[in-house]
Amino acid sequence: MSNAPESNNHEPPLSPPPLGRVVATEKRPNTPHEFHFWTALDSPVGIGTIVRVEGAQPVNGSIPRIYGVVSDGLSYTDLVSPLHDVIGNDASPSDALSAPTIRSEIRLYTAAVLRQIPDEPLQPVPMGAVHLANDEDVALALRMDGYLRAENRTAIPIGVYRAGGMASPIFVDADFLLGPEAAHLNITGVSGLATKTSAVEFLLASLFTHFPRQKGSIAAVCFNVKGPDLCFLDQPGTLDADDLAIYKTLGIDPVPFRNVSYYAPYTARGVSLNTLRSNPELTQNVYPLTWGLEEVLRYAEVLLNRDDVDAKADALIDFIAERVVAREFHDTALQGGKRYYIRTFEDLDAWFRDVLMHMEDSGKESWRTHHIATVRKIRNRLSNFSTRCQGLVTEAGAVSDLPFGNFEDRAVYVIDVANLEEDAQNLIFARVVSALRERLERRDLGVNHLVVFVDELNKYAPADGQDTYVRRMLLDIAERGRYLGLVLFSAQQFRSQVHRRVVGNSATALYGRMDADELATPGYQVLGPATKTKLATLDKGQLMVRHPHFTQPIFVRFPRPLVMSGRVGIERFPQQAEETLEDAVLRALRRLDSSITLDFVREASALFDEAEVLRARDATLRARPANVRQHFKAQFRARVAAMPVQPRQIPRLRPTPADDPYGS
Amino acid sequence: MTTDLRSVRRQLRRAIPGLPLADGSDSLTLEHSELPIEPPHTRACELLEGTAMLARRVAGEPVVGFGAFLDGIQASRVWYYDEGVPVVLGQVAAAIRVRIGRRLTLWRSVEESARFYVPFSHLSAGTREALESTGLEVVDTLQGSAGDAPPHPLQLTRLAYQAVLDARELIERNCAVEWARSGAAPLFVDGPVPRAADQRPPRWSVGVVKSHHTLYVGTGSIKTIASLGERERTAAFLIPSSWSDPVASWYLRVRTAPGRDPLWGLVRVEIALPPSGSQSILTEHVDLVSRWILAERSPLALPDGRWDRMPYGIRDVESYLRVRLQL
Repeated sequence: MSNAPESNNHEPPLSPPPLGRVVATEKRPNTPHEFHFWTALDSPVGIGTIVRVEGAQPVNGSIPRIYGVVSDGLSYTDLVSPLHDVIGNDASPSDALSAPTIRSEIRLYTAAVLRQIPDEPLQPVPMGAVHLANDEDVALALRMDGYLRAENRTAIPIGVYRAGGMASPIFVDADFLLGPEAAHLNITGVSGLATKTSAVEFLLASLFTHFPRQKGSIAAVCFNVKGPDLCFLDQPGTLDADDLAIYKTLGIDPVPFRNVSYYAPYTARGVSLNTLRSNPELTQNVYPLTWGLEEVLRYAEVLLNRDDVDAKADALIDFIAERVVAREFHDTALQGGKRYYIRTFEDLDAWFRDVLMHMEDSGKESWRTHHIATVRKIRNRLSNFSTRCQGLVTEAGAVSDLPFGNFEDRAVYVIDVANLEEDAQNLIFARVVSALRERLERRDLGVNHLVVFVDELNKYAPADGQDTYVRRMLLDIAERGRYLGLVLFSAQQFRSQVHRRVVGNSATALYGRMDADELATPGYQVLGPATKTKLATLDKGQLMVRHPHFTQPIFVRFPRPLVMSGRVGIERFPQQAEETLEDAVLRALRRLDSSITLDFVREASALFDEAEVLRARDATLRARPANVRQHFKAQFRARVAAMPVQPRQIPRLRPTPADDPYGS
Repeated sequence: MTTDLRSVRRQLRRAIPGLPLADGSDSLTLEHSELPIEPPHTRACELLEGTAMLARRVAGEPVVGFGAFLDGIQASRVWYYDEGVPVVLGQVAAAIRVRIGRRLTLWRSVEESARFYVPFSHLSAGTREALESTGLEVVDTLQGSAGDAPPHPLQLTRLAYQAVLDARELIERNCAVEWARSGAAPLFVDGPVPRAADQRPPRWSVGVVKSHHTLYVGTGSIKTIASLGERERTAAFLIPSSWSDPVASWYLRVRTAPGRDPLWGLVRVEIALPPSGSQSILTEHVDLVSRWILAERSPLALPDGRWDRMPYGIRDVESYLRVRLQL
């Protein structure tokens, strides 16, 4: 039997001469998880460099190979005391520059072990030659070989690792990014470097390109929470040769997203959409987002504060939602058994009025076990929903929504909430995500996997503060979304300020340039000082990646996004000034019938006030009639000559009792 | 070539039953022990500049001139006593480190295998064969002598030490000659300037002697040497040799410090005697070499105790050799 060492399954590729040697001393020994090596002064090794160690002695018949990533570095000379340098240069720093000889210097690096081959027995890293890792080494070191196999490829490029003139593609595992093994991605970094948004844009493009077809369809819903960040995803970005080379290496076509839809509520006036993407050249795929009573009532909790929603209030809201709204309701005590069919806030207010009148006229303190004070409070709170969320929630019930059930593969749906008040943002967030979750549970969303991108996560799922509906919902997605195909891509400036269970459930974490204060928080204690220093000085386009397959954080570079940045986009496609009523109606109706003219709109709406015209527009958009002109005109009541009439006697409601704690 | 001394020890124990377990590897080397040495002394010399050994200010500012540094190293230990006769194991090595871009890197290294140094005529029967069975070369320390050296252990140890020193000087000389053949820059040699096979010092080799066991003086010149100021030198003088060409030499004060002994910061420089010419040419040459040496005062060779006289380049070579010989 030969004593020669057997080769293992992974033959090391031919490589250039070693760039370093492993060293160990009693004071600085090597362990199974860490080792030290020195290099020449001009070696390309730095923090984050991946290296391969070739052992000298076979273990169990195999020469061990160890992969590591540089986590720290030291340099020093044979100078024993700084004072010796002072003396040697006569206390003149300039003399040191002219010294004929430069002292011997060492570059000593510490590397964290990424992988040992063979895996067993796990031993301290042996002395051996250190090589710069090549593409194959990187794949082995990061255990990417398991999901790069052609027959079962689930690799999603996330950037390139660069060292020594090489650019090795780095992949994450789709099964651990989108489920079912693990899921979710969180990205953190300081603001102003465009890292977070750019990284997500790039990653979505990578996902849409490389997500295996056999795993089903995929789409993304992105919440644009600030400025014009995500308003130009269908416009090409500016890429240089380096970016194009990275896209080529990663196999991604450098073109903007082909299928993007934008959704935004109206402004408070209700004429124009409340979005920075209002330039006429870009409005062809911008749609209104408006909801009525039915859509909003279920999420009343979002807009009600904790004091509002006691058990009694909650019971009344549930009663209204389940027994009153969107179904026929009648009560013999109300208006002689009048049959109600409540679909709008206007209908609901009329119903509340009848209930209160009945209680006041009959002198009863309660109706169907609901106390009059509770009824008054809930009427008060619900009736101002449309005021608090003007432009989003409509009194008349006009609904324009995301295409739930008809989501398209590789499509991006952007919801622009950047200019909205916090209440409206929360409401949109809660309802959209809940609807997506329900649809995915029922498997009728239109796609199998959905990525939801939320920026400013510290605002929606803060580590401290009140427990809100939105935070509970985000926690639910983070903990259970992967089973549904609902994946959260989240971003924030300070990871430490986000709820631990949300970021903790994000299997993949990306870090851009970090603030020093943030790095000092306990969540970063696992990182060495050199890694923290690198994180604090990362350039644009650089990220540190943590992924379940990577045993250590890895630094990667990603290209500039293939879409137009918000800053450039808003310069090239400036926001349109507030439209006139006629222009807004014309633009909206032309979606249904391109033959409609401004003269038609003016003629049809000349005699009516703004609210009536907008109501007619919304009704037409909701109905999507075959004959748009006819339907639009039909929404206006006939105008006849005015003539004086006696005012109708409307019974007045009793004033709120002085001791009603909810009266206001 | 580094010798596996443990293996040698095992072989020797097989050949000589009852050999003490201690192999002397942890004992002081002879270089660090207190071997009896002859007392310091002075020696008269012939001046090459002027008629008196006066102090002279080195003309000109320090200037970098050396392109490489040569040093040798030796380590000799008494491994055991064969009926009172010391069996010495000696190792020698030498290296030239060349300066490229202000950094020192290896140009040539010679590492001899360890050798046994013993007086053949005083060894007990079978010892020589036992030593040779280890595969190491065995050197007769009485070779070339009359063979009537007294069998005093210390005297025999001194002879072994001298033989190791000779072996070291030989490889240093070979290195220096090889450097000179390469036609490269001036070579800084730690110690006396080596003589080539033709007994002439290699061209552009500058020997710098740090120890002053022997002081070359004329009448009253001890005071001159002792009171040399920083960047001052004595007049050049001739050092004759019975076995090689004479060399030109002079004392140079590299650095001074108040309260130090008179030899602190003092080196003696040796160069090949320049071709006959005017005294002004000799003076010019001596000043130039002095300026080269003065330029090597920085960086300091600390923490070496000889830092006042040792340039950093020599310390670098020594460090290299110590690592190679695992000393």
